[in-house]
Amino acid sequence: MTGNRNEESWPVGILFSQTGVTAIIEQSQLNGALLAIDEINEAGGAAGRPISPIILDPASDPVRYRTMAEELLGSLQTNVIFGCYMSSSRKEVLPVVERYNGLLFYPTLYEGFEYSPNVIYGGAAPNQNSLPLAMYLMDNFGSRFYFVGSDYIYPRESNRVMRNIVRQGGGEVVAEKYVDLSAGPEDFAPIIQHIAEVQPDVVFSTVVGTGTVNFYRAYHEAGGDGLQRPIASLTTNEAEVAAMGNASAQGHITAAPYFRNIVTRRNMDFLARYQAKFGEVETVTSACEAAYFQVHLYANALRLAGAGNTDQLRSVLRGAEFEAPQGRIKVDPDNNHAYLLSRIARVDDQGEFILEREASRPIKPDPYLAVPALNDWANTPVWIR
Amino acid sequence: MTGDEGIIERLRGLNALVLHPRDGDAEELLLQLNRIGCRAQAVWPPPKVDADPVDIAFILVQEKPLESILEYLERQSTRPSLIGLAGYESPSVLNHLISLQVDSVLTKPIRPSGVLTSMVTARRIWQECRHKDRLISKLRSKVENSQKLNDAKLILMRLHEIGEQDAYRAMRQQAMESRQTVTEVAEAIIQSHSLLTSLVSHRDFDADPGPD
Repeated sequence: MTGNRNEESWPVGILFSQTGVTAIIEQSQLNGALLAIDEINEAGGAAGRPISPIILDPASDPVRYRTMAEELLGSLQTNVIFGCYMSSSRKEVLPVVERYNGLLFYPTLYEGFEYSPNVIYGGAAPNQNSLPLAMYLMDNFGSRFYFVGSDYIYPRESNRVMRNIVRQGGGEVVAEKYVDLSAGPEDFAPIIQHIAEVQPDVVFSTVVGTGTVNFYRAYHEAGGDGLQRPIASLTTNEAEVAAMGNASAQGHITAAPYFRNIVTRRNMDFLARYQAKFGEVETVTSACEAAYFQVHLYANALRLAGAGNTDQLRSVLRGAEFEAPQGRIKVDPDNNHAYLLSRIARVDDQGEFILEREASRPIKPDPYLAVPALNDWANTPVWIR
Repeated sequence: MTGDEGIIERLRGLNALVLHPRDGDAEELLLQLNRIGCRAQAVWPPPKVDADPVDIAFILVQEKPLESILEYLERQSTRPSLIGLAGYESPSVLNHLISLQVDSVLTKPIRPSGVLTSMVTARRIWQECRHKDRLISKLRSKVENSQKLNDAKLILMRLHEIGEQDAYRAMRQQAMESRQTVTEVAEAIIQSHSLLTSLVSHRDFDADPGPD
């Protein structure tokens, strides 16, 4: 690392955990960001300079995200960070980027109720994924929900939103269970037994990280069948499906803006380049795609602003659009969140997510929607398929 | 469902008004109110005529009270929830916050985070005050009514030399027949009694001093 990298390149901090409980998904985000950086640099960089990533590993520990963000924005003299998966880590980094007037690109779905001029949000807000998922589940499976989640801020808030929607639809939440972030198969055993006893129509999981693989596997081994009583999630993705195995994943449902097997020219190109760089596409997820398009948004902003200054970047990022693998996305100038596609897919016997429903146009992000209304047609897209 | 949850759910339906000069602070506040999803507008100087009723008002608070804001507040039949926008924490500003009876405060410069919290706090305090005001006036009239009932009962008991229960029964009977409330009957008894007493008092009648 050279001391005067600022003059010849755009240094950016990369804060994705390569170790710890959320390593699978954050490694996927890291890959997405690195692929985009390669593409940009191979094409001559942005505004004449390459982007040079400073990659740190916070090891899934929220406090380390904060200290590393301080290091990046302080002594390492970057003003841009791509990073964070869990809300608890974002909440640690947020005051740091605000104090240094830096920019955090956050490529992860989350529970909403936040806006900072120093954060560009790239993942789905509840109105873009929870609401469509709940509608789909109640249309197809019934309205008795069983909630299982990891014990931290995102699952609890996400369940609050889901509970409100389920109640509006005349359904009920028959149980709400939380496990530790590092939960193993034995921690899920009593929950799975309880599920078999109370016979809900659907299980809604906000378990994240390695717990996801443990949960789905334990469910399968205890005789749980995704085709009969699916586990629905907003986070379970291609990388986790690959880790848990096809048999454990079959029949389960995820709502996300992007799935790997979307058949568009743009996505094919993206996957081909990912394959060339990493030798596989198993680790491509919606969070990876978000990290990928956010780096491109940043590079485009550098080109437009001709400078890397936070205030100038922010002003051109607002309203910025990009042809992402999921489709055309746009940064909402009102709230720094993104207009995203909404898709629901179900895992088949080959471990592939097969689309079940798809919004016909991107959905405007509404991060402060406390109670998404089932009959709120103003914001409901037309569903195809 | 708790009342607290209702406050958050209903925030979006609120009509918000920002009475603050159009500067960066007002702009930041308005943007955040729009993000939250409130119908919000900023007006400066404060309007002389009111348009829609306002549920929550953000008002500039300085060292000395602004006549135009005081006039605005006095005109409102239902006082909106008030959030003071204060630039300093000097004693005169603080005094002004007290005298305006704001429900919550935002200190400048306005940042997006904190606006929602101050609104929720203000609504809770405002709701609680309204609830307590209503409760107090209800209790007050109840106390007054029961005082009247007692006075009227005593008058009937002395006049007709009957017991307490008979006196009450008589009043209730009268109330039903004349389609009035028992309190109205009691008031009529007290009034006519005091009239009769004053008519005869100059003749050294041993008058009942009557109620205060």
